[in-house]
Amino acid sequence: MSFFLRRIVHGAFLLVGVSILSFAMIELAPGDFFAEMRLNPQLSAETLAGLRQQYGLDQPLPVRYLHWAKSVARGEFGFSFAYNTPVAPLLWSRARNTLLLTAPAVLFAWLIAVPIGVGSAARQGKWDDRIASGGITALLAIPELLLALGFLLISLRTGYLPTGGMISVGFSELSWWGKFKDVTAHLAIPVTVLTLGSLPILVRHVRATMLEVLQSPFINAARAHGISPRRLLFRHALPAALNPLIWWKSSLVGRAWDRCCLRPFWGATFTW
Amino acid sequence: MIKTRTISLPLLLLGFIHLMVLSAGFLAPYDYASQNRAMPFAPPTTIHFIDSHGEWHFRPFVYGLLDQPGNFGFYNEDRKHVYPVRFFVNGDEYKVIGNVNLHLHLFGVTEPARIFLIGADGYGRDQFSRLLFGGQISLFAGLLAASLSLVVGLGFGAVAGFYGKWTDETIMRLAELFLALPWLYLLFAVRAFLPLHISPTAAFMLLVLVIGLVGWARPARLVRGIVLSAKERNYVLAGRNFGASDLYLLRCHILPQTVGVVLTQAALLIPQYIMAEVTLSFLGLGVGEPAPSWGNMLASLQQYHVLISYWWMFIPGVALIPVFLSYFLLANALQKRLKLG
Repeated sequence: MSFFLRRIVHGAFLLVGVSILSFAMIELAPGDFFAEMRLNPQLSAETLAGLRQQYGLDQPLPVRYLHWAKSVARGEFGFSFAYNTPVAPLLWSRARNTLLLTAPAVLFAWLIAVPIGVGSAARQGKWDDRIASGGITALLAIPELLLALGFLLISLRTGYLPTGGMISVGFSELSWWGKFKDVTAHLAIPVTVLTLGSLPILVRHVRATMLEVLQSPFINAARAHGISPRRLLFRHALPAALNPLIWWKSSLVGRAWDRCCLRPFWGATFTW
Repeated sequence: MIKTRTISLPLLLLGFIHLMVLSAGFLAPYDYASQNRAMPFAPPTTIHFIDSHGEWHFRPFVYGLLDQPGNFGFYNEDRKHVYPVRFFVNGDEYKVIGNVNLHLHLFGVTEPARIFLIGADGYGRDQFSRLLFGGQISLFAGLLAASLSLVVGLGFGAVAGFYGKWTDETIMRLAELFLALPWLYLLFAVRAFLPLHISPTAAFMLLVLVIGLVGWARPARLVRGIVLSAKERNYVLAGRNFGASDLYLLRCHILPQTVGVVLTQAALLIPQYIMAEVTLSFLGLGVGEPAPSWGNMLASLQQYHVLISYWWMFIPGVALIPVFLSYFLLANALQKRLKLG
């Protein structure tokens, strides 16, 4: 119990620390939301100062942080000056898009990695394990950036898949099946790249933990009972091996999320 | 059974690549910034032995380029003149360590022809020369940033593990904070905070500092674990009873135990950090023009016509593959050796 309490307190401290640092990071960048309006000749310096005062930007950083922390406690994450609305709905719609991209990537990576990892652990050192390991090492050595560029090149050359944005023009007129197909086509390249990017690490971990579990006494005992190899692998060894891998799952979501930061740049690039 | 070959092969390959990159000035036929505005996106130069009359030349030669009329960025060979490839020629000036100016290049062709082994970029700059000079930045950014992370991580990890109690608690909480921090945004913020145009050297140092300082947490946690177990060993306790100072114990008895982990971490971190530099320069946040880095060389692929027309612009990305492969093989071999003790 005390362990959980301690972890929760640690987590809370971590959240506060990260939020303070993020706040400080934003402050580090020069200018604020109204800095750009300086260029507008119709706005005087006094008006801008008034706007700053109205939105509380003239107050020192700690005061603003406390204001923000209070609003978070009320369940509001702030207010967007640019869109003139609370920021939460804006965040949700974007988070949904990000999840639409990362969730299939993580899912596919697991669906492919677990059979490959289990299979090559079961046949350790045999020819198929060697081929799988070789392929995985090769994939690990290819930078994700190059993969992304390569897939873009292929889709541009073949004209088969769209290369930017998330929906086509006239999306709203499509039937639900058409909408599904449209979004799938747009997500195909980024999801493939994200999947291929996280696949090799995942396979290596599945294989390593499976190898460890397969050498443990309880597997030997089960084998001695005459349980079939397939059942042994998937019903006895895999659950035991998956336990440490759950941690990996959570960290991979974060990683995929991080990769998505690159996606807006792609979007900006290919709107010629 | 560890075959020494598994460690020495990637080490040899890495040594070879780094040596090539370090001697860029000599191996590259041109300066990384020397432009040929008349030859944007010139393709890799074909090296001939037989001329248009069917005559065999003992010395390899190249042809000059003629624009394809109405077709920007595509060329025909001008078969009228033959420009032989010469070795140990004088060319663009370059500096070697200690600010010695040299002009000697391994190979080159007579002006006005150019030899582009792997093509030219949009300003007609030789990709091969830029690849070599860019490797100096990309590879050494990874190397320096990783050493920085490891030194900081080793220091913090050792102190946390050795002194324990609140020191340990503070440092480990700080480490968690750094693990949770999205470093991409940190870099955006730091980059935005600095003036718009900073010199390539300053950008390089900044990149190394930020990437290196953000990543100390993982090695610190690993080192701490080893120090925790090492400080309870009998010989350490004996040393303490003989009156050895903390510093002596750390230096002579405890830190040598962490060498394996630190080396393995280095082999894992360096490719990550090289990739970080490449990604950032690709996005325009890293080392800026005209200094080349493998990242900002790839950046021209963000343009549609470059992406689909000029395959040689992908080469800086392809060059990363052997580097990454050797680091991974090295990390694997080190890890295996570590497990066996």
